[in-house]
Amino acid sequence: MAVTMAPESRLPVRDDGEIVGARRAARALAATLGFSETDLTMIATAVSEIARNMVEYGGGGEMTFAVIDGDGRVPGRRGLRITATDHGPGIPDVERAMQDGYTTGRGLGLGLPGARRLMDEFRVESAVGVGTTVSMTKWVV
Amino acid sequence: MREYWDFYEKNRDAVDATLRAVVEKIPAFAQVMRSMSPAQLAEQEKRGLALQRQALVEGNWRPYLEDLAAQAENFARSGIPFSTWLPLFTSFRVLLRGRLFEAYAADPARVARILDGMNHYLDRAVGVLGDAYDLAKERLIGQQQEAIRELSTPILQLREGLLILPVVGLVDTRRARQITESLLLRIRDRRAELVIMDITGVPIVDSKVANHLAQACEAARLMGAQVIVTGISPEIAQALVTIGAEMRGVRTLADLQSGIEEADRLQGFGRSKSLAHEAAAETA
Amino acid sequence: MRVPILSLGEVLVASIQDALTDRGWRQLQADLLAQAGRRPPPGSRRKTAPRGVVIDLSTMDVMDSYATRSLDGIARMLALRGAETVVVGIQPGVAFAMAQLGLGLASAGTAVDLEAGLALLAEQVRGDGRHHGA
Repeated sequence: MAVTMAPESRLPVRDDGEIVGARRAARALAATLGFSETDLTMIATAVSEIARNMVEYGGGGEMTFAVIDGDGRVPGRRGLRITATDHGPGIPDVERAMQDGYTTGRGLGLGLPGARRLMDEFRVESAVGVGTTVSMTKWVV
Repeated sequence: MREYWDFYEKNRDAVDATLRAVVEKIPAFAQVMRSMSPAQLAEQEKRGLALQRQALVEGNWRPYLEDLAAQAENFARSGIPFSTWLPLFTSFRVLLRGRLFEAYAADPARVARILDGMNHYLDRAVGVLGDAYDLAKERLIGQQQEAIRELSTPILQLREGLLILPVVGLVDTRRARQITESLLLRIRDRRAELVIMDITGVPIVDSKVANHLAQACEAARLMGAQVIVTGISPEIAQALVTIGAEMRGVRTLADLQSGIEEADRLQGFGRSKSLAHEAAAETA
Repeated sequence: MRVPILSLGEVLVASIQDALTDRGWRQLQADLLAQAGRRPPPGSRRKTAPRGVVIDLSTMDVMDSYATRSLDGIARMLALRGAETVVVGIQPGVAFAMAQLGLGLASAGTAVDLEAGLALLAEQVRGDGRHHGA
């Protein structure tokens, strides 16, 4: 079935001020889709975790927010897809980074597994020396 | 497929007239048809034919299949079983096959081609109808489950500051989430400081459920309310220890009555006592 | 942006107004630690340094792992300076997300709103007085 995307919005995420900006943008866009209050908070929190990962380990990057209309199985189902891309050192072992308690920096290592728990779909692609892309989606109900 | 269409178009009036007679004998369909005016019926027929033509002649199937799916969804929602459609397809096949043999008795290759086209077309349509039925039913069940879930977890205020949350039935991720969300809202609205969550009515408490419950308790504590979980049966206690999911950090008691006694004590002695309790639990 | 800190008798109240940046958290930490240990000037009615801190999160719509860790750290540091911390007003959705992330606030007390938080602190401070050294 049709998967159409609204025009994306794109934000740079390079420092702690822009982390706040990214989660505000995510919350504002998500609010237009009819997410519940709890879902809005979960989305904003996941964005914050991923944005901070990007600033701390990826040397900054950018985030795009896109409205998705309809997934493969349920036409008309709407969702918010967030894609975060950096050109940092990359993650050598993505599987391990997805486990609770794994960390390479000052964080508690909650970033990736934490964000995954808050979202419906979550994917990480990373290549050492090239960068990391995190793509995560939340569906309205 | 094109050949099939041409043949169908030539015989359409006769075939449709016979099919209409079949439809009228199926009560569910007859009822649907009676609910529409002749003009509406004609309009729908015209539209269906145009879509069918688009699919078979131009190869553009999507609008036709979507229309079929929408019809199936309507039927599913009205509670008309899928099997109601089948006599219609059977009659159609038999009818067209008879006419085909009559018309092209001398050209069996042609008959075979047209039959193949017809079967291919019908199979595709039945497949889409079936899938759409399934999906519509699934959605319907989902909506009903949602409604039951909302009904099934009342949150009662026993007295000022004390809420009781009896959980009955299976707890999956969705339900755990719904329970937690409504509990947290209620804690804020009622300014609750204590919650008794009674899980006597939860048949299975595995590590996943235990984890959900522990999360609900933690979220409640973040809002300033302590949660006491009651209704831990001997079986559940054994199971939780065996699988190593003891809900650490959560105050648990055997039954609801013990929970209420504990609440009396905590609220009677004031909040400092309850904090002393928490502090003791933390250093332990 | 700097978080304003009110002094109410023996209690400091910090109301976090909006999504705070990482720098904002560090600033808040420094400000609270400085004020929590400060004795009142000679001649004031109050004789002791602030014994309790209420941090009001009722307008915060996100508490991610960094913010939670910062807050818990502040509570631990304040405890070393002899002040109890109570966090109040965490909203339902925020509490839910924090629990999902596996984040707790082990070092701080919690209460549903400012009023309940002040009452809790008052009891704690009194309780400490009664069971001295406990």
